[in-house]
Amino acid sequence: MRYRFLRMFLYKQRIPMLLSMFMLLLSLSLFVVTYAKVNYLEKNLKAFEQMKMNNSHYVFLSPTIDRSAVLEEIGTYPQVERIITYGYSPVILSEGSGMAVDGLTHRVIDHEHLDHYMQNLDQAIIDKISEVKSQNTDHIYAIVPYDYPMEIGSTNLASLEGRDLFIEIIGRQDRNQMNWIFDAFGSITSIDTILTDEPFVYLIDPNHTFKKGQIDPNPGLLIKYRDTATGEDKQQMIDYLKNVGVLAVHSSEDMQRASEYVIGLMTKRQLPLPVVLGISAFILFESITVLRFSKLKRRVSVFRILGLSRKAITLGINFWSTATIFLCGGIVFSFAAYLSRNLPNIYYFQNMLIDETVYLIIGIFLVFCIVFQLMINYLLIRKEPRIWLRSEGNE
Amino acid sequence: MSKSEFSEFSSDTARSGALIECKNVHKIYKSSQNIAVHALKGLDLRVDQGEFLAIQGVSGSGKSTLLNILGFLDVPTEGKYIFRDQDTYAFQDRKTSRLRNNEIGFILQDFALLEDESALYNVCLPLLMTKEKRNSIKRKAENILQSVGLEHKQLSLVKNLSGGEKQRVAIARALVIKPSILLADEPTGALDSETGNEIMALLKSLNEKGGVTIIAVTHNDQVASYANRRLVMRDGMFA
Repeated sequence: MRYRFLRMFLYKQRIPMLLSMFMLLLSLSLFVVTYAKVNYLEKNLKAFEQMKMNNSHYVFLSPTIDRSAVLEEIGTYPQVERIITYGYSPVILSEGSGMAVDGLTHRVIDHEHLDHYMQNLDQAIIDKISEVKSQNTDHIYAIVPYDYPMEIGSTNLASLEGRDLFIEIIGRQDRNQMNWIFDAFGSITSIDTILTDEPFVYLIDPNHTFKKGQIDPNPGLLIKYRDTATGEDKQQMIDYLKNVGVLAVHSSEDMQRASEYVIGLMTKRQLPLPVVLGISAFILFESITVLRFSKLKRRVSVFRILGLSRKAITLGINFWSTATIFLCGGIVFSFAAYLSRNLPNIYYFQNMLIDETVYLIIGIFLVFCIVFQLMINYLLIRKEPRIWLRSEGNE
Repeated sequence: MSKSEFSEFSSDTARSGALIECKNVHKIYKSSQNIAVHALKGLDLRVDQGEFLAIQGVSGSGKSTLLNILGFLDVPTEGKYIFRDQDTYAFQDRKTSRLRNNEIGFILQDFALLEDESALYNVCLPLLMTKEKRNSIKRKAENILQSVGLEHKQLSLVKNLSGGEKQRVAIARALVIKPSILLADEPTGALDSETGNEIMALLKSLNEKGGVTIIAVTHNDQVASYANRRLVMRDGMFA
């Protein structure tokens, strides 16, 4: 196929094609980003549901958030019945948390240590997690970041001073994964508030071990919790916990409701823009296809009279619009692939999950565009060319 | 311009005999009101190589329909169209398109030119659809434009040319492929009489000196007078 042949169909098409390409690119890129955020929330909710952790309690902690703001927030949670604190902590749970079960004490493993687990599965675990040694457990649940090559449900063998330790992956997340859950309980006034990149963290308790015994608050090392505290005891605990930065604890049902609410809110508030833009881009693109054809109609008639076959005309007519779609698709796919590997550390690009679902949706949209413009072109070129020449003026 | 200049434009000057034969050709199509229109009614026609035939008739007599069939822009509903001793019934679109590109030149009332392109590009167009090299195409187109007296207008946009000049460009475009046959549909319809006569003189010269077979449909006696043979159509048949 020669360029001189294709150029014959490019007459007065460059600007419309650039315009439609720009619209397609803009809408698809926005769609990728927005849908990736929704996708992120949905996938996490699904993972959360799969855990089937009835009546678990969730601890929201924040080693970095403004203390006074936290204390103020706590007052707005009437449902806060149980409060668990971790006090101040160097631990960044959101990058990988784990806890020992089958014991009364629990240890959250920070990112650094989890990293060590993963990279040195056959080596002794370093001293900082020595608390695990004293526990009668060989099983640790862990939530690992997405960049860890470990699937949910997998169990990984680690060695703890000669003794086997199993790390079961019960969830995957990244640094800011829980922001939205936290904010779901807060005063959500804008979708933006659930996308803050403050490093909130959480801890899961699938076996209700927090309920099992009396635990005294002891910030800095272990979580201590007394479920049965009432009255003055409870208030004392709450005061104490407030002082050490507790945020809130909620049941799994609350969490799920919050998740669904946030997803709904997210979808409601953010998805319409790219969807509307996408539909506009689609309509614009197809309109331009029609307009392009009205410009090309006489030209095509002349080509036909001069000996261009229907097949060649179909090819020429469809080439540029299809190429536009493919080019847009290629750029958007590359953009998505880039984002999936290198999420920019800026606010707008936080909390996104770009996986095959995103690619599939974009792919379907592009195929839809291609099919439509092929249909329109087909409908337009099936007429006999002499009809146009007789009905149209000169171009 | 010298008439001998056209001697090179026909690919078929040495051939003789029937170039085109139509046998009992019918054409029925549906109008926009979905009414069947019998445009051609069992028409027989033979056109020999090198002939200049004028087909006359009033509007709606079927002459343009016939021209479309002869130019492979339409197919008969019934009957045979034989081109160069081959029944065209089984010809696929690719084959008929190639025939239009290689053998048939069209000259139409509204010129069928690309108005926003130069005269040179318009003349190059049929050859741009082939694999011929660009330089060769350009050279041929320039020569043809020179032959029709438009060498000084090569780079002018068609929309800036007069009606007569446009028709000359159309003729040049038809000739650049060295056609066996020129099909002219009201070639002077959009021109004043003086320019029309010039164009017809040009076509006559192409026929006489270049040996190009020409079939012109017209309702104009003056135009038809340039032909060697005249046929009159009435209600889809030759009168």
